Amino acid sequence: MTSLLKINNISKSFIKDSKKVDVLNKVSFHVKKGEFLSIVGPSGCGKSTLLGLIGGFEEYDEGNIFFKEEEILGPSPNRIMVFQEFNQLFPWQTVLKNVLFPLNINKTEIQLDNRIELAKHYLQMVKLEGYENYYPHELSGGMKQRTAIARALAMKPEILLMDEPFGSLDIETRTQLQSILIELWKEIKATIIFVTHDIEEAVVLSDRIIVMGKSPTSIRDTIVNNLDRPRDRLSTGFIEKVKEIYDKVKE
Amino acid sequence: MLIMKNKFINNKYILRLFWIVILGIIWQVVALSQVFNPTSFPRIETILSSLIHDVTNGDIILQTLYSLSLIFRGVAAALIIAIVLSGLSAISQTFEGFVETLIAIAHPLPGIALLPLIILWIGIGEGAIIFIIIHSVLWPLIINLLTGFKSIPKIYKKIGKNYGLNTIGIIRYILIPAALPYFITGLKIGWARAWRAVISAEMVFGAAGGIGGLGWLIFKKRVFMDTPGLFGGLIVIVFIGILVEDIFFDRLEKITIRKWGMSI
Ligand SMILES: Nc1ncnc2c1ncn2[C@@H]1O[C@H](COP(=O)(O)OP(=O)(O)O)[C@@H](O)[C@H]1O
Ligand SMILES: [Mg+2]
Repeated sequence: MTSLLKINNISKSFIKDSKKVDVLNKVSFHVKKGEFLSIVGPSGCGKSTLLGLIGGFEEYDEGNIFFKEEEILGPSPNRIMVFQEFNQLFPWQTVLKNVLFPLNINKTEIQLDNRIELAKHYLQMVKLEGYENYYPHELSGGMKQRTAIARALAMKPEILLMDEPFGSLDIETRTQLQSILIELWKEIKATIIFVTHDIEEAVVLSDRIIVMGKSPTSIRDTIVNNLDRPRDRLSTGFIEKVKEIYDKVKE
Repeated sequence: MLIMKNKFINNKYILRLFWIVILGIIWQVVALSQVFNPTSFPRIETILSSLIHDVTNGDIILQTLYSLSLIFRGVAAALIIAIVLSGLSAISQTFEGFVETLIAIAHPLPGIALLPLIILWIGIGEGAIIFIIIHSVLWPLIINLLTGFKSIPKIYKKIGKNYGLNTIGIIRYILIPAALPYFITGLKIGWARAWRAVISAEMVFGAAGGIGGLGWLIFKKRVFMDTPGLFGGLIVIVFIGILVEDIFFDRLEKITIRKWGMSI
């Protein structure tokens, strides 16, 4: 199968206090359609920077990123980002309007009634039916993240970029959202790049895990994760996989 | 019983009314005791009957409407200027420096202090009063809009771009609603200053070319030694102030920023 996304030798540095700080150093990897890929690595190693480049929010210094054989030049509804921050929803819009808003801009060929149905459908998929008319400040952190995921998926992006979306949630909510995400991924056959520093989370979710080291980083290793789904966190295979990655991160 | 008592105290409007009644009673006691000359400290019923007279013959209503129309025109003009200036500042840093310099110079100047200059430049007509209103409203409005634009989380803009909005779309769908709390704050401060400014300016300029406003009304009442009428005018000024500040802005906030959890 051909790759949906090709990242070839990209490097990125920032200017900080008039000094150049290298963050990414010749990073390369490919992402296949339908794949669930996780990126793990210590805090500050450049995971968000990398995802931001794929999203088209920043320009890279060297190398190139091809999405469906075309170089990425800027953000696009084809590649939707879900952030860690709870304030990624617009507080002046209800849950339904937050999900509907991108559809109203991009999917004008669909009739308004059908757009509303679509938005409701995705809210149902993240188990938020009944909360359509709530405002974001009336929701818990987990519900806000579920809304953000519904908003992203309703656009049917070709690739979903997730930057530690569950990083600020308590462990129980986080586990619940991981299950919801896996179900969604299977149901709509999404392609997902999921950044996290929680190794267990990466093992629960993904088919393949990229390990990054301290910056300036290239990729330490890429680990294939073939454990049967649904995954049992207490199984020997799972624990061994976590340990394998943990050792790679610590190296 | 205890709950009822709390409810009573919690209702802002009832509490407000309660204290107005108490103050009215104190006023009346002082007036009846005749410690002060009744012509300068009239009884409440005298004030009210004078006010009712002024209302029924229509004068005070026309003058109130006139003052309000001046404010409305001034605020509308200030609004347009503020949006243009703060919008350009959001785009260009050089321009922002210019606007900030203007604010530093003009904001501390009370409108009334500009009067002699305005008379010299514009004369004493409506234009002069509207100029003072614009001056009172403009600077607090710009300051708040600038703060508002700066306080918008960067993530909103990112999301706008991600979901395919162009620059105009980002301004229309994101920057404007996101800055609304600051916009309302600026309007509130601007209104309060404009209302005071228009009354003062009208007292100075009189009824230039028309019936004059509320400020002119109370000024005339003093000249003709109509103290009850003077107090009647003051009551209307206070009443309008309360109507706008406590009811209009309160409602506006309730259906927007407080509902959205965006109060600042
Ligand atoms: N806009 C920026 N300007 C300067 N330095 C930045 C910027 N964004 C990120 N960095 C630096 O790049 C490094 C990687 O950051 P980031 O990608 O956020 O890491 P991670 O997401 O893995 O925690 C950090 O040292 C951070 O300080
Ligand atoms: Mg990060």
